[in-house]
Amino acid sequence: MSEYTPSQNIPDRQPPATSVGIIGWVCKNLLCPWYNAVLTIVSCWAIWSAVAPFWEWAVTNASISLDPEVAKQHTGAAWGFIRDMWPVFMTGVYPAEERWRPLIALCIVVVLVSLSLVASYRRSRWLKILWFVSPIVVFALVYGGGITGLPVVGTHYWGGLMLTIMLSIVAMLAAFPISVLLALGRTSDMPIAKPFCVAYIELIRGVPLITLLFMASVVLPLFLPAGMELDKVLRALVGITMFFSAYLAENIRGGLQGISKGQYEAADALGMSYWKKTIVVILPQALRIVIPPMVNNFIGILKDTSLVGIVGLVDLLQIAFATTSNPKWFGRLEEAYVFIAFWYWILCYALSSYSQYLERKMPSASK
Amino acid sequence: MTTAHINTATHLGDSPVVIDIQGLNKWYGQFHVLKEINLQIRQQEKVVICGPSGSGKSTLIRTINRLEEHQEGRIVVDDEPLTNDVKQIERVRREVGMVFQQFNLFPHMTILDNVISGPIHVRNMPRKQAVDLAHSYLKRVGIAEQANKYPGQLSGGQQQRVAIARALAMQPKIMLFDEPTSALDPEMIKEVLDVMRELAEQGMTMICVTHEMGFAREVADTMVFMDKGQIVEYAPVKEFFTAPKEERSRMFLEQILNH
Amino acid sequence: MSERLAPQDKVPFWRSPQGRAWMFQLCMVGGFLWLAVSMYRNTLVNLKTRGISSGFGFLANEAGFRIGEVTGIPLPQGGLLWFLLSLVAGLAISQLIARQLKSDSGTPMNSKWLSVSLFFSIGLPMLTLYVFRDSIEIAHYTESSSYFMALLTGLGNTLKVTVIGCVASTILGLLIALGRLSPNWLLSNICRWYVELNRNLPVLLQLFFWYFIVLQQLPNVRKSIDLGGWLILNKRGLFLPSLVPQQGAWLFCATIVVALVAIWVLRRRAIRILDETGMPVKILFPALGFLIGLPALAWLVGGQPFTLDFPVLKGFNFKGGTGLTPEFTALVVGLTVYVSAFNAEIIRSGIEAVSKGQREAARALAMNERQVMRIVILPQAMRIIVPPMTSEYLAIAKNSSLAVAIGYPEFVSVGGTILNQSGQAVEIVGIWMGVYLCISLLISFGMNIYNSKVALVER
Repeated sequence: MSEYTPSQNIPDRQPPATSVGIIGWVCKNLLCPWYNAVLTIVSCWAIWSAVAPFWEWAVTNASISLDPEVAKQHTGAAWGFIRDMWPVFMTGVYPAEERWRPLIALCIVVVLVSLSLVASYRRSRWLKILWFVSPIVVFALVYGGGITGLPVVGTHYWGGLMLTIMLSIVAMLAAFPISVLLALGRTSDMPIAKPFCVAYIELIRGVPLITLLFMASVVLPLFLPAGMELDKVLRALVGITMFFSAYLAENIRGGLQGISKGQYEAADALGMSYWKKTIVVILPQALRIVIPPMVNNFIGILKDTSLVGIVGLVDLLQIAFATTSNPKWFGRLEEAYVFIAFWYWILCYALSSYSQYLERKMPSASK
Repeated sequence: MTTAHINTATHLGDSPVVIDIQGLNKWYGQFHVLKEINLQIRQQEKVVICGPSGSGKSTLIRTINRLEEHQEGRIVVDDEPLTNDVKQIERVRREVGMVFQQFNLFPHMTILDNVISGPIHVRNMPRKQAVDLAHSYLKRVGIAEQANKYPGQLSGGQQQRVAIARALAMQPKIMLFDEPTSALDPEMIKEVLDVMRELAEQGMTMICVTHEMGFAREVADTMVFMDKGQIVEYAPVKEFFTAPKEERSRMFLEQILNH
Repeated sequence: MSERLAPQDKVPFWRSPQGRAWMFQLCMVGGFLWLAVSMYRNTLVNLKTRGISSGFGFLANEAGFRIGEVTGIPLPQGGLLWFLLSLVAGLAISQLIARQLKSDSGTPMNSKWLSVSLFFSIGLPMLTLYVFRDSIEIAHYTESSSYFMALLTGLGNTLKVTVIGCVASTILGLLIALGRLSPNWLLSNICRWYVELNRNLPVLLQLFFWYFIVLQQLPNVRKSIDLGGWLILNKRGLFLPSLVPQQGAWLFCATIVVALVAIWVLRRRAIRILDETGMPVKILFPALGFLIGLPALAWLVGGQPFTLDFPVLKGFNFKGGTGLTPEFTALVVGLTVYVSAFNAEIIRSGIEAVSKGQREAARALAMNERQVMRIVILPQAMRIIVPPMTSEYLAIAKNSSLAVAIGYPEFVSVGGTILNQSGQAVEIVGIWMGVYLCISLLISFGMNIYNSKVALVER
């Protein structure tokens, strides 16, 4: 043998206890070095001072009685108010005896969404057809009249979470085709259509949503022939759709630009016409890339529909004023806001987690 | 287990040990990446570390300038033990230059600014002097005329040579090369290896992680073969290439030389 | 002429891609013209039936309504022309000097010439402004002012909210981002949930929360929170003492300017010494000495420069001092908190986007952590951070229009009042959009200049 005896396979060992396990973790993330420990203490204090009063208000001192007199004896939250007004938060002043209709509509949407989450159903043609039919069914159910034989419930009765969700979904559905056209126009080299699309997108992105809502609610009626009236909800919808089509178009443009030139050339080489090429080859790829930003866009719509309250609709946010001006539960704004915030937050957080999940799942764009 | 390595490069005689690693162990979480590493490197010694990917070679040389922390063992670089002391780490890093696989030039600075960034900000050198120094090193690596361009405008090989110049401008005693040619196109590998060869001839202490066996055979004094986080074979370069003692290093050499 | 045929000549135009594009575009233009004309006609008819006259003439009418918070509007008077002239002339002269020097010696100008051109570009206009002091008059809105004046006041309030909101949300966002990047698990999670909470709630809800819940918890005027008269907080708002300039105020302000110039000179000297000898020069203490010493001297010589006007309870409210209305406070706090969540994410992802290798390369050069941040990470992160940050700033400007819901008199809210009074819907909406568009275009113009300046040079 030579002087150097090579070591045989050294077996794996556990790392020293100070670097892994609970002790290692606590030391590394909370205590060492000394300023880290200070930060930990300050953070604990911050959490305590924020959570403790809220906990006291929302749980310890809260009452859940439906009787406002009982609630008044508690210093904390009166959750009975929410229990009492729950249907109003959900549907606004929708007639009580007709509330089963939005409920069924909600069930339809929930079933469709959960079916779509199952991967094997997602590709089936039936589901797509159902998705296309569902807006009509939902509208017929909620509005009534016509062939349904149900009593008509006009849009001024609509409100609450129902209105918020309907506004955002319909605005998204309506903005989508417009934005695809705008994005195609902006990426094209047509001398008239391109500047027009650029101007539209930049104009809309440059102004606040509230001015568009005002425009839709005060100026739009002036543009229409005399005697023609647009529904209030529809007018707000026009404003929101105009607003979001511009933002959506910018996202889709990003997707279109992310597609390599080779794809266009391959489609040309197959002898496809412009529209065929766009619809069969380009758009499916572009849209797949932009699904996460589109979900973020939808979160934006969902949050910004709260502005329709300013032009007189009673959406989820405005319900807070409507319910707390009720003499029975006068001035219970805190409970109302916490409840409303809970709904907005759950919806937006779920959607944003979904979009992050999609982004992670997506194979990084190959060039 | 720990065997004191005899110095294999006879011409180095008893020049002082500049890097002394004893009983080094390192874990990533629960994963044992470096196991019982013992390694002495003398002044002017050229060490080439090779081994299959994932064997811990890069991690080993990154512990030498504390880009990676180790959990057990002792590393002394130029009489300076590596501990958690920030000042000590900075002193060590001042004497140890490093060249990365991905070059890691600062893209927002010109080539010249990249090279003088160390001398000016760390060595407190007057700007004029630093610029002169930078120009001399840029000339040495053969890109003097590109000094005012940005890294993005250079080819990979040129960028790697700038990275070498940047490390040299700190006038280090030891140079670490972490797979300097792995990210390069074949035609650019030679220009980088030439610079490294020249550096070796001038007597720099060098530790290279590389798969360029031709370069290793020509330049190295000592070969270190690593596998699964441990040093499997430590041998003078001739011995390693002609009569590897270990089965694993023999197989590795066969694979890499006959591919 | 040659016999060769251009390829287009062979195909009828409706079969060529260009021809189709043109046809499509002509159809589009036709459609829009038709739509525009019919809309115009409808509008004329509708306005007539409602008895509203069109045009912007109504802007000169007396407004007659009260605005709760009035910002002084600088109105240009006769002398402004001279100021503008001297500004242009000063800039031109300094440009000329710079160019002359560059072509003469090929080196950038030294500090002597720099101060000369500084005098021309800044000092000269300032001097003119001082000589023609009447060139700008600060006008305050009253009920008898015109609609135009009311809109200007609203715009002033919008800008005030926007500027304060931008600064505050940047600082808060930076702190949150640093918290998220900190190795402390608890702190980074607090910051994470702060971001998640705020960016997933509608900004209007947050404004309502601050205005109707937090600010309503404050005590009423009689039971104000009072910190020795310096800070008084109650339902009516936040009251702070205000500064009233005295005789020595001019001298005092002038010495502050002198001190700033001195610090600038010091800094240049320190940089020069650093370049020449490599020795960093500490300038913090001399700079502080100038900044405190000179004004203190002026105080001693010229007497007290400012007196404080404390808010005093008179009748039902505090008089004197500076008052921040609850609407203003709620708007600024709400917008700041909302946007800071987005800013924090932008800053965090910007810093994280700088590759790990950059950090390692800087460390391998023995830079300390502060240098790594200052020399390597931040300059690169800024390129990633600044563009989305500007769109957040723009979002503050746009979201400040939500003030209409809590009754703070900013641009849209004042416009809404005028719209209700005069019924000039088309004009008001047009003014709104035009002004906001100008603001956005200005900001994106500045953005493009910044981007082209800092863009990384690639092959």
